[in-house]
Amino acid sequence: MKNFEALSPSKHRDVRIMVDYIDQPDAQTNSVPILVSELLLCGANYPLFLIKNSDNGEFMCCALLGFAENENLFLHDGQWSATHIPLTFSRKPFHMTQESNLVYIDIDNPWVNRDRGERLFLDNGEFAPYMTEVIRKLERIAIGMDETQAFIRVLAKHDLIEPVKLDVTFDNDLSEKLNGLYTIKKQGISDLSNTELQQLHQTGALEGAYIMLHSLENVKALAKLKNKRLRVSI
Amino acid sequence: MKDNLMSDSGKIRSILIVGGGSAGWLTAGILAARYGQTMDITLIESPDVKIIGVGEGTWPTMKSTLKEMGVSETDFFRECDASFKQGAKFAKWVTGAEDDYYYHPLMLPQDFTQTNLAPHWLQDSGGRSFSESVCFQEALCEHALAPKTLAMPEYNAAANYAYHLNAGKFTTFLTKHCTEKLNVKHVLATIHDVKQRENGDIDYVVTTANDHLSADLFIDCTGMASLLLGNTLGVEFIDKSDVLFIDSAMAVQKPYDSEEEPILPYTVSTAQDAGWIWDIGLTSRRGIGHVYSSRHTTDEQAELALATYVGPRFKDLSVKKIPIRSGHRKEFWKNNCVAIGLAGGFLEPLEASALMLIELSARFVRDQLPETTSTMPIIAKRFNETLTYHWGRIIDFLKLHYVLSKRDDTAFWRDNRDAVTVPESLTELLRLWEFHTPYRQDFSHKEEVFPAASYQYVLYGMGFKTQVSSRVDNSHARACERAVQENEKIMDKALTLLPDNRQLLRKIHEYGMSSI
Repeated sequence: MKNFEALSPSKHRDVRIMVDYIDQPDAQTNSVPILVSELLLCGANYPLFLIKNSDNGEFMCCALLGFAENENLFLHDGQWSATHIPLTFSRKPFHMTQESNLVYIDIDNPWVNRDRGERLFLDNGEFAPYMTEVIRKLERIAIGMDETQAFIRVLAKHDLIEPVKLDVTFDNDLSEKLNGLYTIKKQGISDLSNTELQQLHQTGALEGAYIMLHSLENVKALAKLKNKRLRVSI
Repeated sequence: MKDNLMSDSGKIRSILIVGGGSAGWLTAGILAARYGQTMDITLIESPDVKIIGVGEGTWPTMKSTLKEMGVSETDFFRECDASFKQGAKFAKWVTGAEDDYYYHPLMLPQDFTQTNLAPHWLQDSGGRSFSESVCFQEALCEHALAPKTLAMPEYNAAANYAYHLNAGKFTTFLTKHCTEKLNVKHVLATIHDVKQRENGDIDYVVTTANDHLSADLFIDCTGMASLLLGNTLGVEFIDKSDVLFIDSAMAVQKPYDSEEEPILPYTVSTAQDAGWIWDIGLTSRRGIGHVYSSRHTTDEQAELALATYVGPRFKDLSVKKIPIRSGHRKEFWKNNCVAIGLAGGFLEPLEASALMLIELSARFVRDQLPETTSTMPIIAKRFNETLTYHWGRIIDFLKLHYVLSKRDDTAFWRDNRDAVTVPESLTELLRLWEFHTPYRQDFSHKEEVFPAASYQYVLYGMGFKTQVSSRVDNSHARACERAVQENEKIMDKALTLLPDNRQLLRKIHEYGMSSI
């Protein structure tokens, strides 16, 4: 359960966030939404897909973290081993409302405590450097959501999205099938006219589409992580 | 098309569909999706004739029918008050007790194409009903869940489904789609006369405004009036009321009690003293109707039974009474005229076969449309053989529900089990099933309207006992156990994954479903 409180120096002066131990239920997920502004950084680490939000059926850009439900193969000894952690995750346990730009903290999140980790406020009541960084992330997310939706709309408009089935067999001969994943339709890019290509290039969507396509190579790396984990458990 | 003379070569170039209910417009859509650009397809309907509008339950075939017409499923849901149907729940059909029910779901038993689970279940049911142990859909129905999530594209789902729909809105929706997207011409006029050629073929119809409309092929969708096939061509009606006793219906439309009342994702059919009551949930209201045998009850008693089912709000609702004539024409295609829909025949809506038969007939005409008038008799003969076979199997299947009942409380139920009322073909099957479970080899046609699985659901849902042989090999037993376990696994997952039916329908109205 989430229990959000509006962030205030008086109320949350002593609160600390355990940033060095990520392995909490929140992190045990096999996909996390990402923003178009972090496509390159994410594409270097994770296979990226479009996945539908079951609340409204809209596409979201997501990084795939594992194959089974709640499987995050990047978690290791409490650490998230990647060169970039998606912003919608690393902003946790904070949340900013889009209407009022107010910052909230989920005080029931297991990272929230009073002994260990990063402080939110300095003694003078100003934000600590950690918190300044978090707020910068929250602001990037607030702007990035609309940008990301615009990116997806451009892809859909040019008929560049297609469903993809992932069927991976691991070293123990068990296989995992993933449905509901969508990727870029490569043929669709070839079919575009020069004018359309130019438009796509100018909006940055063309680069984004190619990053998503190339990121599919990371499925192999992800399967490798899974196999490594299977060997340890045998 | 006026004064459009048929070319000398006898090529079939124009089709006139007469009548504009569900039958007319579905046929128009199915034909025009393929021939809209190359043939002259016109639908004429009378502005004075009201559509019967009670066919509100479909089969899963309607998904591909709509998809092939290029219909957006989101638009269909929004404009036809449509909701999901995942099967039928038969209440009080076996003993009449309060807890007496079984399901006929829309999915095949687990692993049906490789493994026949019926003998396995008959030997060891594990205390569960047949449909429960071989198919996860009953659980979805009992929890009022939708068969899919919003993330799944149009026409895709985790569990097979059909629709409940508002028949009036559906014809309006199809009219718009057919005329705007599929190039169907629409004529609003009342037919005053039908002119034949010397060989009996229909030449043209005459409207009250004295317009003449000719065509190479006429499709009679005039409902029970059967204007062309019955009246003009004089094709005999074969009465089946000696097998199926239902001959009257009265229907009401009941608003939901609140915005929170569940929209049941299945049709409920509750047996009564002299018939049964259907209950079909749309997004906007429920459609409830009592079909009964006037030989076994009176209109007053039938209305009382309906009032009891509906509850105190019944007095505010208007009751529509519809006569039913169980049976079908001796031929469905004669000369250059095909009857589709009620013009060809009618049966009680126990297994929602009406719209399905329209789709099946229209597809046949689409796929085997004669090139020339000279080949038409050959196609007509095939059509008649196929349709006669299907009507026979549907009548058998409907009668099966009555034959298997153990109800003894009224003459209606007792008379239904009288051997003289049971078709010979069904009697033979029942003898076979005393020792053999229905499986794929039992039915001769490639495309059966009711697959063996449907017979299994009804037989074993109603407590029929097949004495299966104990000669079962171990590998088959293991395959059965695996299938039953697999079904349980899928059931658990589906119950956590799938949303409430009403909630999903609300979201489809708000956000729509995407095509991919």
